[in-house]
Amino acid sequence: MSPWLPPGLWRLIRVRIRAAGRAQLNRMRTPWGALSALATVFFLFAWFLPRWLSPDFSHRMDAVSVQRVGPFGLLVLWAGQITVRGGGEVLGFVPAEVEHLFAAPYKPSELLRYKVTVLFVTWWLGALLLTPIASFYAHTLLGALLSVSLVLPFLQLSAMVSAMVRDGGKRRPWFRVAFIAVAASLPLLALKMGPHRTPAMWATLGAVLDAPISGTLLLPFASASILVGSDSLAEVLRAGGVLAAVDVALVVILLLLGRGEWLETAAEGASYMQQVRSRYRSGGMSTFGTVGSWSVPRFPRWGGAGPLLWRRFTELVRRPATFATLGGVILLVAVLAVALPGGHGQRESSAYALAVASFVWSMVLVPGVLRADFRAELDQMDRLLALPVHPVAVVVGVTLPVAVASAALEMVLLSGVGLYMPNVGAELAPLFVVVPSFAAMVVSVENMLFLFLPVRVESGEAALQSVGRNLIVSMLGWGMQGIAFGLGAAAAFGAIWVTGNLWFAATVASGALLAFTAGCVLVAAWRLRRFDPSKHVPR
Amino acid sequence: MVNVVEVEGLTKVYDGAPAVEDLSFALPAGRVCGMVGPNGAGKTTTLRMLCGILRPTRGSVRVMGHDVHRDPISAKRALAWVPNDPQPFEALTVQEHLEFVASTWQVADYQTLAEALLRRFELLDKANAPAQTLSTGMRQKLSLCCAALHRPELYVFDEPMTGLDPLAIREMRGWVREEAARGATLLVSSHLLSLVEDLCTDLLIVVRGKRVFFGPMEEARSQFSEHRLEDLFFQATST
Repeated sequence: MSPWLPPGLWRLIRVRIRAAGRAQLNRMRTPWGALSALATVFFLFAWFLPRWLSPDFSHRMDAVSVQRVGPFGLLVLWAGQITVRGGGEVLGFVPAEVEHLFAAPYKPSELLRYKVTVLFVTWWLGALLLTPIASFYAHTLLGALLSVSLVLPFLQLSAMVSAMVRDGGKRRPWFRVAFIAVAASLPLLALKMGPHRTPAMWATLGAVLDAPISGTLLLPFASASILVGSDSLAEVLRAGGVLAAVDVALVVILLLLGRGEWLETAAEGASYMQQVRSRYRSGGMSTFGTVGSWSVPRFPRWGGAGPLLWRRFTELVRRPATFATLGGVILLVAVLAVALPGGHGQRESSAYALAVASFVWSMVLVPGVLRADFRAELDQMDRLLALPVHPVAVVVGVTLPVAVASAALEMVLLSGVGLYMPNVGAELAPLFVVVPSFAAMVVSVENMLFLFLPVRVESGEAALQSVGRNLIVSMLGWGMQGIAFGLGAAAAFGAIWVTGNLWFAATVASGALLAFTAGCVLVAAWRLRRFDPSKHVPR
Repeated sequence: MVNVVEVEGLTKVYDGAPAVEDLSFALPAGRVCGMVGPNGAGKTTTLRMLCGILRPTRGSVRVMGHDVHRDPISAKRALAWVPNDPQPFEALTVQEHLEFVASTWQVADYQTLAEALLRRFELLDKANAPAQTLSTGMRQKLSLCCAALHRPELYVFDEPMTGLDPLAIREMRGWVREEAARGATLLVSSHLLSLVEDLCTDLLIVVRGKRVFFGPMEEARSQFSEHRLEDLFFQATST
């Protein structure tokens, strides 16, 4: 009987685990790395310890609900996994593996076994970290452990099998026809199973779930729900056994399918993921999707800030994620507005709550989501520093577009509230004066801090530090934004006390925020002048 | 004479458009073949098919008599691949990369050769450095060392001089000649025509996936009535 893996691949797994541990330790040797790691540990203890120690604290999910709706929810997630994620990237090979393993004397099946082994090591190491979190929600610790160690492999292995089937379909047309036929028969099967003449959706869903065939089809999903929702150790062990058997079956199917020629698909997937990773490292989530071809008019030079503003604005409008973010938020608010409770007083208070929520979202979260300022320039710092432009102009040119975008979003949302509730809208109208300067303040604080403490979106092998580092930076940012907010609020209250005029108060508050923003821009420019990409850009 | 590599009717089609079309050539032992062509000519696609990473739409590649796609293990034992943008395992050290290569190709007592290669390509002091700390040129050198460690019969190089300093380029030239003298065959894709002219015994010119010329360098010169490779290249590719 041949061994599971050739010695070379075992050795590679061993040295990679060793190297990951070494990289983690090396990063902790710098003061900033050590501080970040300490912050992570502190955060974990501060968050988890009271929950572990307190007998009253529990987020245990209702067993009946979990076992009733859980399988269906997981089925939807699983269906999404196998239909949306179907390319070679699902197989999980990285460019280094393509370079060093694909041209090496290994059989495709050996490479696939190697990948499955690596994934299981990663999943189970991840399970050790995730189990404490899952234990707040699961009814038993064993259930928490088994659910995170078996459900993640189930989802990923299913997607890998699906990718293999599709890859086979590329070369064999009958395979593709069979795949489409099976995929198309699933909803038909669901319709057939339930009394679809019943109008109530929940009743139909219940009938579908109660149908005998559903029991078999949903077995892995039901088992996952039992792991989370059951108090009985015997039930948990039985469900764990079922899910483990399903995972093993998926591995076997994967290895049978993986005897064919899938290397090209995996190499293409690795290359695609490298591009995504590269964009992700420099631009975050907002860089996904196809780039559009819109443009904005050119601005005057404005001391060098104009061309930078044009570049950033153009990039912003060409990113589909910008519109997805803005459009999604507006749509969500519109839906919520329609669904607001009907009573007059309730509607008013809900409208206020909506206005506050939209303010927090568009002013505080959107700049971070869009990542179209210095956070997207980390790999372009050389070019920015080489520009014949004053650092203040560079800071303004790079940061202003995000401030404008988030302010524009907030104004649209406020207008929506005003249209829906004219009385509330009239009271909120002075906010239009404050919104642009508040957005500018938020963005300038975040960018100034980023220039002092640049962090990457993705953490690579330094996940331990990443949590702490982001926490420290976020807390500093919130602290500074809190101070600016306090200054603006104090100025506004002072103005109201003296004049009683809301519009005047808003103008004064706006002025205070702009003064704070100007200070941040100057400090950011000072830092930019001293920024050394060879030292300050994290790898 | 037995050919180290034989390519017959190699074709790769993407969405109906051929990237490589009916490409054929063969190289015996000890030859250094320069593969040149404009951007998008299909050079990298050809090299990746030679190494068994991409599967051809049609045609075959044989390395030491073994079909790369039907008998990949035997074929891959005899070849080494150096891509144009080396991607090492970021957290692994230089030494660990060599350790892994030695284990994969079952190179016994690799340490002496590894040390010699690292010294030659000035990586000895970086032996314990993680790959993520290496510059582009050093990554290229590491990739060369990994390729050379198992002393393959066929080297497949895609732009091997990228990022190398003058000293390393000189070492590389000398090393290529030594390997050819040992009996290894080297297929080198490069835009550096002076390098190809200096090092290569044979020339393969491809344009839009098709072979425009294949043969010894002298034959190319006489066929295109040009002495300098640069002039020859422009004449051959100006269609």
